[in-house]
Formats: sequence, C-alpha cells, structure tokens
Amino acid sequence: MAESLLAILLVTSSAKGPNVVYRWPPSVESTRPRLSRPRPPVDGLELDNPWRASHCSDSLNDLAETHMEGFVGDIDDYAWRRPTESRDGSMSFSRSAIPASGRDSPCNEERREIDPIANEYQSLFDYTAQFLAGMLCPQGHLCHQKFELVIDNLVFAGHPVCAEPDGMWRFKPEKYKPGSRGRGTRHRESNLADKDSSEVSLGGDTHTTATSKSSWLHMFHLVLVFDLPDPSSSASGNVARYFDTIYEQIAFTVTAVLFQEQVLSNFVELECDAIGSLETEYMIKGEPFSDFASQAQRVSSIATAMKYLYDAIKSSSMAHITLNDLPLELQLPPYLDHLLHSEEESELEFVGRLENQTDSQLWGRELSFGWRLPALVPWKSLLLLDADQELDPYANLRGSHVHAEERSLAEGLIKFLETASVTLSLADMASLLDWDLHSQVYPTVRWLVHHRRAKIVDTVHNGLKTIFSIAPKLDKPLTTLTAEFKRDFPQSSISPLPTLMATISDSNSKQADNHFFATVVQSKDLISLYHEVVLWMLKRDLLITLHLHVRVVTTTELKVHVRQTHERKLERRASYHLHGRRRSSRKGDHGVGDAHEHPRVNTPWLSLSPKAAKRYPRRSIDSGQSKPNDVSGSILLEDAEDVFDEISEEDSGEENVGWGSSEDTLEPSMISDPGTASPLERKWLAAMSEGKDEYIARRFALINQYFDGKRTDDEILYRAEISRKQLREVLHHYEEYLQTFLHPA
Amino acid sequence: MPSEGDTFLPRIQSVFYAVFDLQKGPKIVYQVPEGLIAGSIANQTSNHSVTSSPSPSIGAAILEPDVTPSRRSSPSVNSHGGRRASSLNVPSPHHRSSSSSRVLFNFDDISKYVIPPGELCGRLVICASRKYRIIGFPVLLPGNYQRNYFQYNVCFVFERSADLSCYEPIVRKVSRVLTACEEESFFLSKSSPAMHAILEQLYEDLNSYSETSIPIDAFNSIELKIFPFYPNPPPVKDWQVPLALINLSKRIEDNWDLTMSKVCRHIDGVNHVSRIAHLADCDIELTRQAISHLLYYQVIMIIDIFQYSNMYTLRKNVQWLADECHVKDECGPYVTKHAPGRVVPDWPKLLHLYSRLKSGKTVLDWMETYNVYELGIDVRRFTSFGVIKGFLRRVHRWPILLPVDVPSPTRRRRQSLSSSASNASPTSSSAPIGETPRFSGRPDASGFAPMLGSPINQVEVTRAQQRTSAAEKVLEQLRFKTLPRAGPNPIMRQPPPLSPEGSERNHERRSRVLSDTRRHSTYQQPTSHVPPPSSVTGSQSIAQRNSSESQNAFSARPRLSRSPSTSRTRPLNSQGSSGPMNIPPPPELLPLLDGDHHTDELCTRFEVGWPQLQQWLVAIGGGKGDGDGDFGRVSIIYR
Repeated sequence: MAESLLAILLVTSSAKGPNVVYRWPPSVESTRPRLSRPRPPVDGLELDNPWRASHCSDSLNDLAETHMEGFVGDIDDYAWRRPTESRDGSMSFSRSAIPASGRDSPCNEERREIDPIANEYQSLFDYTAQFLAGMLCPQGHLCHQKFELVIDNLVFAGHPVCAEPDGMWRFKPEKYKPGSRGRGTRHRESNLADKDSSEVSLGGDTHTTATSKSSWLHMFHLVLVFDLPDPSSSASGNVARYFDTIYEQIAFTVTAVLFQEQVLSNFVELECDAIGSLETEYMIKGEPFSDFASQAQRVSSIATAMKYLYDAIKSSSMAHITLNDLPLELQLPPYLDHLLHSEEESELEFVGRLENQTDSQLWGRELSFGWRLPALVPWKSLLLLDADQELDPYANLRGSHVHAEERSLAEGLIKFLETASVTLSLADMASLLDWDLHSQVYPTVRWLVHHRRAKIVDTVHNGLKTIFSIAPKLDKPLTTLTAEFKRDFPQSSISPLPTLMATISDSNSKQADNHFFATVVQSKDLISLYHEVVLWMLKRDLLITLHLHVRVVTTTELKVHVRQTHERKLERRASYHLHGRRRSSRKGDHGVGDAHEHPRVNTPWLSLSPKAAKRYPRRSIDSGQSKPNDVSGSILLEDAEDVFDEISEEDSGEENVGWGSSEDTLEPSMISDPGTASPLERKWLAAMSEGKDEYIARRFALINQYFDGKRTDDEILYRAEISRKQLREVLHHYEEYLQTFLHPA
Repeated sequence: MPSEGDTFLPRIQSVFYAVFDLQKGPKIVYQVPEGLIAGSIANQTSNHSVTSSPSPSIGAAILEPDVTPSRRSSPSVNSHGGRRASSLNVPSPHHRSSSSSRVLFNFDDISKYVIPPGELCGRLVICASRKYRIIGFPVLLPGNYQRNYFQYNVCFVFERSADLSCYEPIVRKVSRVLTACEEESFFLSKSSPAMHAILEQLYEDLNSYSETSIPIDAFNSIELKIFPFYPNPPPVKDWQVPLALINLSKRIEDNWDLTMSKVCRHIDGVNHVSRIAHLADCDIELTRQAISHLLYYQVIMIIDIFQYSNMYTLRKNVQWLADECHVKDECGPYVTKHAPGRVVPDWPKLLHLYSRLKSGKTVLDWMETYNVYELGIDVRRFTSFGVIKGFLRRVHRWPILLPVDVPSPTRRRRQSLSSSASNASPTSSSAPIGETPRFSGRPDASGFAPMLGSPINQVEVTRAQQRTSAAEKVLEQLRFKTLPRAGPNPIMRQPPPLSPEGSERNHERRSRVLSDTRRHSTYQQPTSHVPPPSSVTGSQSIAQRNSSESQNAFSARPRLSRSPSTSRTRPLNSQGSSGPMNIPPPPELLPLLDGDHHTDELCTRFEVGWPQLQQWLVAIGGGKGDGDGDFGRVSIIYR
C-alpha cells in the first residue's frame, strides 16, 4: 500500500526558525520532473507524423542511435512510472542527476560549496532542508487542520499543530467540534491506548497541562511526502481519496498522539532536543547522515516510530509503533493502491460487493473502504490466517499490556480463536460459544479482520463437498505457488498444485459430482489432509466457492392452467347469474368507468369489468381453448354484488389479481422476487404446488421467497432453517419450475 | 471506469493575480470576482517570520500605512493605473469591507506559496486553505527591474475536493504566455490593468465554455481549452476484440489520422487487434495505439475472441443483472438470428442457457448438449451479449507444463518430443526462432520476415486430419463463395513444403485462424468437435513468393489477406497428414507454459488456432490427446 510514499519528515518551528528535525529514510530518492498528460507516446512513434511512423522500424536500426535516442529519452523524462516499477535500478536516480531535465535546478550556488557531508544534512528533495521546513510550517491559521502542499510532483501532507500564541501547549477544545472534525473521530483504531489519546486530544477534557513553562517549540508537523501519482493512472477523484485515506489513517492519528504527549509531558520538544543535539554532534564529527539517522533511532522513540511507520507502509503491513510508551497500531486498507491502478478497475468482480448498505455498515466505516471484504453474514465462516507476523494473537492477548480485568475477556477470545473453523458458520459459532452474534461475534470478527489475522470465507462442507472454481487472477506466479505448495504438502498422495487446480476447474463442467470431494479427494481417509489443502488455497485466494442460486420460472403450461382455472370460475359465476338476473345494469356502467384504469382497485367486482371480462374468452381461444364467449360483459356484471357475496369464500384471492394486465401473458417468465410476488404471481406459485405432497408443498411455500437468484444455498438453509437434504427435495420436486445457477456469491 | 464527477470540470471559484510588491511584499493586485480573498489585514506581522531563507520579502515587510497612495506611486505595479485602477486594486479598503461577508480565505495564510522564495518559482504549486485549493505557477523573472527581478503569479482557486489535474496545463500555459509578454514588452510590470480583463475572461470563459481565446497584444494571445483527464486505458493486446459503443463510421472525418480512420472501419466486434491491423493494412503497433485511443475516449470496449472452443462462466453480477430490463428485454432480439417465422426464445430459456455455460465446457459442447442451434441463436452474439452486459466471463485456458520429476507415465513420449524439437531447428534454420512473432511493423512486405517455419505446416496437417465433418464442408463452401477475386489461386495446388517460407504470411493466417470460427457463427449442426481453423495460405504465398519474390509481395498482400482460400489447399494437405506428432511444437512454447499465459495469448503469439495448440500441448505433455483432457504432463487450468 501507499507505494507512492517517499519519506516521512518531522518539521518543527521555533524562534530560531523552521527546521527538519528528523526524516526517514535517510536518503530520499528524488522523483523526476514531469508533466501530467494523458499518454506520452511510449515508443517514439508519433501517430500524427506519417513519415516517422512509416520509418519507425527502420529507425530502430539506423536512425535510432542518432536521432531517436534523444527523442525517446526526452519523452521518457516526463513519463510517469509507477513507483514499484521505478525501483529497479535504472530509474532510481538521485538528486544529482536532475539538471539534465533542462529545468533550473533549485540548488543554489552556495549550497554546492558546502562540503558533501553537511550537504547531506542540509538538502532534501533538491531543496535545502531549511527552505522546505519553511514551506511546511504554515501560518498559524492553517494549523490544527489538514495540510496539503503540492510542488510539481511532490505531495506534502500532514496535520500541523502549534502552541498557543503565548507559547503554551494546550488542548484546544473549541477547535475540535465534532462536526468539523468528525472525520477524524470516527475512525479510531480499536487499540485502547490510541483511543484514549485521540479522545483526549480531541475532546480536551484533561486540562492537566504539565508544562507550565513555555517551551521553545512553536509548532511541529509530521509530514508524509509522496510522489504525486499521475492523474492518468486513475479515475478522477481517486487520487484525492487516496491521500485522504492516508491522512486519516496515518498522519492525523500519529499527530494526535504526539500532540497529546506534547501537551501532557512536553514529549515532542524533549525528543527534538535529543535528536537535534545528536545531529549537531554527528555533523561536527563529519559522520555521514545515514549514521546519524540510524543512531537517532536509539535516542528517540519518534525517530523509531517514523522508521517503522515508513517500513510498514511500504511493505503494506501493520505498523506497531510506540510513542512515549503508548503502543499504536496503524495500517492502511490493503486495496488502497488499487485506487491508482485504473487498469485493474476493469476487473469488475468486486462491483456490487458492498452494494448492500447493511453489509458495509456491519463492517463499520474503517473496514468499508479499500478492504474489499465480503458481506459479514451469519452463514459465512472465519478463516484464521497464519500468525507469521511477530505478534500472533495469542501472545498479544496474553501480553503485558492486557489489563488484568480484561483477562477473562482475553480467555474468551482465545476460546473463540480455537473454535473458529471454515467448516463452522458464524451463526453456529455463536451458538457453540453461547455468544451473541451481533454484539460479541461480529466485533471479534471485525477486530480479527482489521488486524489481518482472519478473513471471511464461505463455509466449507465438512466432508469437503463444496464446489470450488479457480480465482481468475492469481496474486503470485503459478510457479511460485507450485513450489510453495510442494514444500507444504510433500505427500505423494497429493498431486501437484497445477494438476489440482486443473482438476478443480474442470469439475465445473460436470452436472453432478462436481464438488471437491468427488473430483479431488475421492477417499474418506484423505479428507483431513485435503482439508489442509483447501485451507492453504483459501488463504491464498486461489479458490472461489460456487453457490447455488435458484429462480422461479413460470412456464406457459402453468400459466395456461392458471388462466383456465380462472376462466372456469368465471364461467361458473356467469352461468350462475344467467339464471338469476334480477338487477339493472346500473352497476356495470360504474365498473367500466374505473376498472380500465385501475385493474387493482380494492372493490372486488371491478376486476370483472366488461372490458376485462371480454378479453378472457378471446384469449382463451387464442390459447386453443374452446369456450363459449357469448357471455357478454353486461350480463356478467349484472348483480356483481351478489356474485361477490356468494363466491367470495372460494376465491378470496381473486381480488387484486392483475388479470389482463401487462403482467398476464402466457410467455414463460421469471418471478424475480417471490417474496414480494404480485397476486397473479402468487397464483402461479400456488398452482405449482398442485398435485404435490402436502409437506413438500408447504416447504415450497415457505422457502420460495428465497428463490430470487440472489440468495445462496447457504443463506437459504440458514434463513429457512432447513437441511440441505430438504432443500434438495424441494428442488427435485419443483424441477420444472426452478432454475438453478452456480456462480460465486 | 471513471467515477462520478468525471464528466464535469471543477468550477473556478476565483482567479487572482499577485505580485511581489516592493513596499508590501506579496499582494494581490487583481482578483475576479472581487473581494473573495481577504487581503493583508495583518501585513505588519510578516508572512515570512518562519522562513529564514534569504527571502526577498523580509525587506518588504515594512508597513506602509497609507495603502492607496503608495500603491499608486509604485512603479512596478500600477503606474498606469488608468480608469480601472482605483476600483480594481484589491486590497482596497472599500471592496474588502463590502464583501467581507463571503471571504474564501485570507491571503496571508497562503501568500508564501503564492509568491514563494526563488526555489519554488517555475514550479507548479498547489496549496490548500481549510476549504479551498489554490493552484498557481509562481514566476520569477530576472531583469532590469528595481530589485533586479519581477515576481508574479496567476492563481486559480477551487473547492478543496476538486480534481485539478485538468487545470495543470492551463495554469502552466497562462504563465508561459504572460511570461513571454513580460519579457517582450514589460506587459505585466508596466501596464497591468489589462490583467483584470484577462482574469475576468479567464474566469467567465473557462467556467462557462471550458475554453477561451484572449488576445493580449499583436503577437501574443492566450488560447486555452480544458480537456477532462481520463484515466489511461489498459494496454491493448493483440488478441483482444474491440467493440464499438458508438457508431464510429459516422464520426470519421477526412482530417482524422489516417491509421485511425483505417482502423475504425474494421472494428466490428469480431475482428481482433492483430487481424484489424492486417485488414486495415496498418502497422500492428499503430493499430494498438489507435485502439488504445478509442479506449481512452471510451467509445469502444474490449471483448474476447469468439471461438467455438471458448469457455464462459457466469459472474456474480448475474444475480442483479438477470432482473434488469435492459438485459432481459434486449437479450432475445439481439442474440437471435433474424429469420422469417423464427420465434425469439424467452428470457427464462436464454437465462437457462447462460447458466449452463461453465468452465470446462466448450461452447461447442454446450451447443450440442442444449441443442442451441435449433433455437436459432447466434452463439457469438449470445456470448458477447453476456460479456458486454457484464454477467458472463470468458474462462481462459492456462496451460502449465509440470516439471519432469513428477512421476509420469510418458517418458517415451517425452523422448519423442525432444527428438522432434531437434528436428525443428533445421527446418526453420532461416527463421529467427527466438524472435517474437509480432512483426515489427513495416509497411513494406520485406518486413514480414519468415518466422517459425514449422507451425504453419503443422496447421495444414492437423487441419487435414480434422476436416471430416459435414459442417466444415458447409463452412468451406461459404468461404469459397466469399472469395473475392481468387484469381491465381486454383493453380496453387502443391502441398505445402516443409519449409520456412510457408510461414511468410503467418500473420494473415493467424488472423484468419482466429476469426473464421467467428465469422461463421451461422455454423450448422456442429458435429465436429474442433472448430475449423481455416484458411492457411501457405501454398499460395509460396507461389507468389516464387513468382514475384519479396519485391512484389507487397502488392499481393491485400488480396492475400482477404482471400482465405483454404478450400483448395485442404485436399492436398491430407496427403501429408501423417499425424500431429510429426510437426514439432516451437521450442519457444515450452517456457511459456508456466501457467501465466493463456491460450488466446499463445495462439496469437504463435499464430495458430486452438486446435493446433492443442496438438502441440498434447505432444509436449505426452498425453494421448484423444477425446479431451489428456495432455500428459501439461495441466490446463481454466480460470
């Protein structure tokens, strides 16, 4: 993450002027000047220069040396490269190489005269450190807010804080209105110490100003320096979001802790003193700057923290830093850098992943952006990742900074970790541990996911009868993965990874027995071994679980059947009334007026308006049914009231049914959401159960609301509280009306 | 895809022109609209108290209490104040007080970034106040001035959240033109009132029209147009198929780039990039760039090559998209072949067919299983509809060669492989074997150096073996009918000799190999398992080569490219069909079988169709190859 980070600086301002107290890394790679532009020609071809285009390949041979070389070189100078690409030697060029670009080098003459050692201390990004420090210490009005300065391709971001005008360091409660600074307050780390510190610095309720004497330190500013990504690398606005996230997660948080410690114990000033005197000492001795930089790690925890922070951000891991004995855990969302990679955006696999608003709410704000997490739902499982970091969760839980009163909580957590398994859904875990799903299990899961010790996966069947497919993209080259797999699973009974993957991916084409056990394991003895294999592959995101999704189809036969039933009913009604016409047709006029516009008005007989009623007989002829259609609408409608009175019991569902509406066709169609089916759709659903066993019909009525093509089999089982066998039974009995889909959830 | 807000440009909140004043240091001379930026309320406290660098402003920080007179007398700023000067000079007390109700920010807070020390001059500087971002390009001009330099900056103010990338060139250019004017005629230092009009026009025109043209003097003018900054498209690959999202042919104009207009004509959702290059008679690299340009402007999208051997699978999006009207209503009419009396299949039926496309199942298998042909569905359109709408995904084959130490029953086969591989080198001795077959892009025919002698012959052979089905005969007839002016073709009936010349046209051949299966999606009753990779023109090109040598080959090329005359070569090829094993796979194929190159890529690279590649993989892996799936040591991962 944050591949564009160049350096972290600590800048202070005092009566003596601004100063860069410390920076990491000691030697900063400078970036080359460049222009933002859509797409510099990469190969020296010019589309608008026919001659050059047509002679391009020739020039590769003869012209290249003389003409093209310089040309390509110039272009190259201005092209933006992704930092990861440019790390490999050829591009890493130090500040000394700059003048070639033709731009005035900002190094002024006197700087050159200074001996190289002092120069090392003095210069930074082609500027003097002094000058940059000046630029990075803004006016007082710009303190205590987000700072951002872009100079060509360097981005400086931070949150400068300053002392009160009287030179005292004090919390400024009035500055931190929740409205204006809300962004910072909500994303607190779950780390206890951090939470305290930020609350203190933001809320300002502890006014125990330890430093009664005014300090020399006026302002300090922890600055993150980035190489500005080229706008052409990503969609508009992404670059801003990228820097915002880094600011929120890193710059603001660390500054908040430093500010608190400065106010409470003059911490920053003391550290600056220590680093400053060390620097002077080393400068006088003529030691190289890098020696000073590493030595400073020993005298100052800020210096150490800056180094750890830099390293962690560069290696996209969590930073565990300690500032004045306050432990802090910081990290950036793992997919943050993808904001800058427009190429990968074409992979739409993640689109809609957090579409459901409640899903992202369950994860909470800090995990909703740049994490690409699957939905946190009860029918998924927790996969614990290898504790290959220096801090494994167990050690951490038993560690010294767990308070005594939290001990029992920690033990509960250990039990949780021991229970967690990919074959156990979160809901099952909750009941096993007797924990509440929402108030206990989810927070724990969130914490584990946030600290990258676990991830959410689809529940794997105990006997490995889960259907997998292979992820379309692999993070590492397959050869590397194969070697790792070989190392971890040397058993001869396990085929090499490529074969395994080939088998898995081929199994999808089969209609039956396409699950992992049937295609790969094949023997009950090997289940436990292959369980490890599945875990291994899940941890590396090699497997995608395919889920069954079900949709309800209404066939033509079914629709015809339903319509016939309806028409028979009408017929019965009509014949009934043909016998006893007693009333005038006054009611009929009324019916014509309204029914056409509102086929679903509550009054039941309106659906029998002449127009609608006439249509049925005609239709039925179309559909091949012979039916006497001499029953005129007016006849039908006479005495509608009586009709209603007498047949209402037997077809109470008849009201509101959109007979004759656009919905009422004989074309096969899908019931897109059976849960909110229209009356007509309900009729169709009911008709599907005709002639089925009652218990099956009842189960179908119960679960057809989940057959919308969006719920996975796991979800249906969880929600309907039925077994897989029962579901299979329904699918079997209603085969002709159900369509099944197998795709990732 | 661009995020929202990509289509409209950020609005300029304010434009101001600031200079380094001899008496007062940095100050705003003009701003439009007026009064939005609070002037120096606290000029007394120097802005530069924190910068101890040799800042020129320190001397200038001396307070000048009577503001207006001093400014007027200042030779550098306002000597030609004229009619506007009094009303336009901005930190004028009147304006400041009148508009203080809506002040964006205080100039003092940012003045050190607007008129910075010399180090920052000549650099694009963006600074930010609490709610606004200020973009400027400070300029320091040495010269015959009172202080030996003149310093100014034209800054644009935006909302803090604005994306300023499209304004960077604007700011640079304004600065460049004004600097030129100043250098020529002291335009800024002598007579700045015109600046107010310039700022006004910049503000109005750029906000309203996103472009402007401001004449400054007889020689200089500011011509600006703002272009939105789209993200760069991903690199275009030779095997990708561009599909137009607008009617490109209507947009082509005479003054378009020649390559572009040629390339556009062949974008039909069927041709892949290298085939387009070939059809349009354009260099492959230029074609890639042209396609890339179209992608940049989002007027095309990229889909995959359609082949009957392709595999597809549903994406998770299908759960939402299957309910969308634009999917379910458009699908039937789009994918059905238009024939009288044909009933368009209903959506449940189509969706069911989509749901049965699975990885590991080729389109051909799927067609046979579900009797797709009977439904009158154009399978190419059927799959591309799903891909375009985003609920269907192509599953690629990723072959990987397992290392030798795997216990494998194919030792004998491997020997045959190595021996055949050694056979390959003498046959293709004249071909630069290691070279990438992407030809390097010469418009003349000599650019098509003979490459990879062996593959072509093998294509012939394997095809001859496979061409047995009735369907292929139909295809051949179709192809035959579409032959344009196939003049000299009938005489060329020699079997293709196993020589490198055979591959001279392998570029064309490849194009056709991959496209023919698509072109004939009116394919009838697919009974053959393998789609016909058609149209090798080996014998033909040899004949031409013999007759005209490479000098004249160029003139022959267009015709060649359009005449897939394979129907003639086929019967002859069958003579030489002694089995797929006798033509060895190219040695360069082996290192590519690492599971990171899919077969579309390999097919385009080696310019063969999947059937041929399949044969090679069987040969390399030592599998039996019959039926499907046995590739021996080669595993094929579908993902």
